[in-house]
Amino acid sequence: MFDLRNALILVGFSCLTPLLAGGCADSQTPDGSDSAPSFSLDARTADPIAGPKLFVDATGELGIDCVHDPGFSGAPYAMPRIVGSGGGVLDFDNDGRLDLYLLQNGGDASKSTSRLYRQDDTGKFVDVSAGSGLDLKVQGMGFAAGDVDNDGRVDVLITEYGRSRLFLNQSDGAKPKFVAASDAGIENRMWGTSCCFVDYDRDGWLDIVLVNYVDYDPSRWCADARGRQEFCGPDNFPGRVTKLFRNLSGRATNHKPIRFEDVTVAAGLATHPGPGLGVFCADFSGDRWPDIFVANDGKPNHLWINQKDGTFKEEGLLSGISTNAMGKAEANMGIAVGDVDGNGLFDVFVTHLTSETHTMWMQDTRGFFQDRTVAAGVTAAWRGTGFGTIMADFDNNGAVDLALVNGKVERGESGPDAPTKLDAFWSPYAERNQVLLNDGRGGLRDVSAANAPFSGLAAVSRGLICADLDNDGGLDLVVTRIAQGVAVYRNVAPNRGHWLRVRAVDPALHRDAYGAEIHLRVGERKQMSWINPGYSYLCSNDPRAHFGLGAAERYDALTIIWPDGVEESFPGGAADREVVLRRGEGQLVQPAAGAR
Amino acid sequence: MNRKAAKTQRRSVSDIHKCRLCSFAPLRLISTRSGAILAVLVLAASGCGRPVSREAAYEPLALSLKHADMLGDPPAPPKLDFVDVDRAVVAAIQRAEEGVRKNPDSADAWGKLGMVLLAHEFDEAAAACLAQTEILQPDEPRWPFLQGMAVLRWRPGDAVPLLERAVKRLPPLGTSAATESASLSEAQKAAGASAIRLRLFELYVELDRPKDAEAPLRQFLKTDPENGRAHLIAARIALRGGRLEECLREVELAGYARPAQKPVHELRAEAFSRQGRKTDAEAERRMAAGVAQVAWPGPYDDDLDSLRTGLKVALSRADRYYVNGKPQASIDVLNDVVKEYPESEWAWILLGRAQIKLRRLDEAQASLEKALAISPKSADALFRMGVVHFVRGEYAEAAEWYRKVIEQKADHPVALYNLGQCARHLKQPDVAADYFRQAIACAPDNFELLFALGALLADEGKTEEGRRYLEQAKKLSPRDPRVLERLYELDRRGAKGEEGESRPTDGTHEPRPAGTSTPQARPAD
Repeated sequence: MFDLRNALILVGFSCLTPLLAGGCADSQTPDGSDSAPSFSLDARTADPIAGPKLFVDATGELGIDCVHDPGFSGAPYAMPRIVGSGGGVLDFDNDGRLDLYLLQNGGDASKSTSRLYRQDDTGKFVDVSAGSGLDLKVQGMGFAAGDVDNDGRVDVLITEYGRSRLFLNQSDGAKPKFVAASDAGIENRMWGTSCCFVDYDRDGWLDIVLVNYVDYDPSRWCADARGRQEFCGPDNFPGRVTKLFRNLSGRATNHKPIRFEDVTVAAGLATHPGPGLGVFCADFSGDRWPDIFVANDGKPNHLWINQKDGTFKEEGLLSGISTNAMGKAEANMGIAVGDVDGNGLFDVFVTHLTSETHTMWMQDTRGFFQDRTVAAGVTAAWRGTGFGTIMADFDNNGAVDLALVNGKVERGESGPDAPTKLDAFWSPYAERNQVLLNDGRGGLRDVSAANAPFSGLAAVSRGLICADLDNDGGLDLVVTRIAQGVAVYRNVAPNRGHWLRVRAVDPALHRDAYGAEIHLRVGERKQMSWINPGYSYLCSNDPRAHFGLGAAERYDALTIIWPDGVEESFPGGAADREVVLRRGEGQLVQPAAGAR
Repeated sequence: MNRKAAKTQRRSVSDIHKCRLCSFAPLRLISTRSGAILAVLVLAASGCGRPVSREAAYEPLALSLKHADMLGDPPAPPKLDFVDVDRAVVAAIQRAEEGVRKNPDSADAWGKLGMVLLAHEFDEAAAACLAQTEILQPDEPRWPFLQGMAVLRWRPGDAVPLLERAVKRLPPLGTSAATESASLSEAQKAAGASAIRLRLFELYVELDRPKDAEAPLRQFLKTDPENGRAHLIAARIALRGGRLEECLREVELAGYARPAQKPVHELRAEAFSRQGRKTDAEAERRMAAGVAQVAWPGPYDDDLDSLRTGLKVALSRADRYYVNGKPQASIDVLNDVVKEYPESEWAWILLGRAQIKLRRLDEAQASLEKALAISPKSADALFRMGVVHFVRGEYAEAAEWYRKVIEQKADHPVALYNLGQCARHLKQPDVAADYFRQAIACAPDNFELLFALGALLADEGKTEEGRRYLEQAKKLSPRDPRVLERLYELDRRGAKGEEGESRPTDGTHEPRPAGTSTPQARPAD
């Protein structure tokens, strides 16, 4: 027999209170505040045990006040507006605290400039943009930070709509100074999106991978199925090539001035253009040479396997990572990587449209991936149109979790499913963000309901940056949002486990060893990560590897595979600190044979 | 369902639509009759009417329709937001709504409205109307299937029970197989039934539920052993399970119908790759890249297509004709479009493009002038105006238009290439080479650009630089006879000691502007 009391309890879980109060009214709270409203997830997917509160909004408290200018005034449906702008963290002054750079999309005519924030010794972020050389009026898209001239100072690459530029760091202590390397050979008139640094030829000098999107024509008229004018999709235009620029410094005698050579065609990357949005470089094939994974919007992903002779071969299809389980190419956007199921092999998660599924490609055999989206629990969660995404251990329990930020690319018919502060134009595109916790066995559970500061407000979010901003062992998040202020979320996960942060430095190169693969062992349990800030979407993340250790107060061993394939092991030690692995100070390990 | 029964299930769809609550899902746990009472209570208490998310919308609608007898409102079409919606689309919906108002108990009227809404992606409203249709015509598989299609876009998991329901309403397997003796409509029905079943099996695979697909798929293949689509599903299930030989066997059985071609090669490539047969895998990958992705026909695709209307649909139809080599048909469509939508610069541009194709240059110019009057900075209109002049042999004028294109879109590789071709005709090889270089900077993946620059430089006696570009072109298209011939010639001249000697520019590589017919660079048309 029906029990009304039970039914009311069930209904109350989702929205009984507002019903009784006379309707499901939106509760408006100031954007960026710590007290974002609690909200109800679709009860079909929400777990009654909602999960821990992982983040609080610390934007105002940290002094970050950058509001994104979407640009293209007078052309509301210009496609670059909906792609958004990224940013990233970098320690430009080498003080051990990560600073923050945020791109604008306003262009030359705009009053808004991209912003550089320096983190001071109190943990506050101070705007040091003016006169830094990075106070740019740009149609900014992607950002990468890396030391291209091996001088120990991190340089900056910015992709723009129609231009890309490299800036060399010549900062003097806390005073930032970045100088455009106009003659460095970074010629890219295309619409650049994500970018990153990788030493693909193992010569000790960071090269550049620059992803390009489509051959966009601003005069093209696009509409949705109802005939309403709408942002064009990538299928309206030909895709563009991902560019590869080789750092020539290794061949020069004094390494100056810095020069790059466009080796896109020579390296084979020009054979497969595509509407690229995301990029991640790592050894996918198991031969210790870095490969390049490019997420293509609406087309099969590309996995460029390094042939060790300066060329690459596209093997996305052969590796099972180009399309979903049904062989369908989806709107691939942001990329997250991590070993979700703890099998010792990293997995790849790519965000897609609401009308698709985000896809978790699990690596079952080295170099081979399978779409295991449902098994990972990703489809059980509510789904938006995802962009930036991170796999990282937010609660330090030893298993990587997942965060993603959302925002539609076309209006559809329903409004935002959470309160928004956006104007009438942008609010139909707004969606809330999500965070999913790993159950330790590779299953992800949506805990967004318990994380209202991160997930409770709808926005058109694009970039998601992951970094331990306050060096407390908890990974923090930064979200870039179209036409809205950037948001910074501090990790406050309760009962966070022990942790270890790893830097890897090659003293001969005076810089972080980008591309190094770090393996950590605690008892029988193994974890892996990289010294590699280039993933997510249009963003550059914390270059240090981070491990959650759970209850373990010590780790047993660290092994590093340096970018040139040499492997060293380092002894274990106490948890809850940063260790710096210096090349040559560990014990050399014979490299294992058996690359694919 | 008879008229009386239908009346007892009346419920205003617009009211249901309006009163979507944050989530009704817990109500599913409630027994039917009591659930209806609670639904009424909650609906009455809320009165909210504010929009909620798509995924929260569908189930309450179905639930509410199920319990509509408690409310007694007459059915009415859903209320829709027509702001900025194409007037032809609005008119089509309003016609269908009128049909429902006239015949509120007619499954045909509700079905038509649901399909018109689905065709234009009013998904929530479509799902509601199709649910009402299903109530009125519960034996018809079309309605739950189409509801599934409406739901699939935002919540694929929820489409499963709807597609399962559609399958349950199909004749049992083997009872309506298409045979040579079957009539056309019977054969179409059988094909439609197969498509419904196969879409469900595909959905199982997409949702990582291959086990749910396996048994019914085996059953299906017993009755239709030559169904390529079914074998491809079986191949995917085998690949997921790591049964590579089985996967390859299924692929062999899949045949080579157009929609099967790409997946056949892709599946082979992945299976071979996993078997370590790298050469075979690479060969299959190349073959897969060489064929286009073609979707399997859906059971009601034609019906939905016929309902689509508006400017976007007309432009897309005109474009399809043009791409398929029927410029006159494209012009016929576009002439109607510009009468109906004279404000659409894109329609005028497409009209101009088709007229250029038929060398009706004066008409093309007039169309493009209309486009530019509406949108003076349209890079596409400016570009095609350049093509009009180029085809007339007015190279200086053409170059003017191409330069205007570059002002609007600096990374337009084809305009830059055509500027280079203009410069060649105007006997300015250095200028031409510079434009070609700029074009390559925009599109380094374009064989024609690399070849054009390499050939030009070689012709101008800049042999080494020319060779470099020709070698790059060869990397992109290793078997292209033009580049092989050029390189052979350079080698021969080098052997004869003719280094640095120029050759006439009007030789084998007669320039032709992109955007006309032969795709010299990436065709803009």
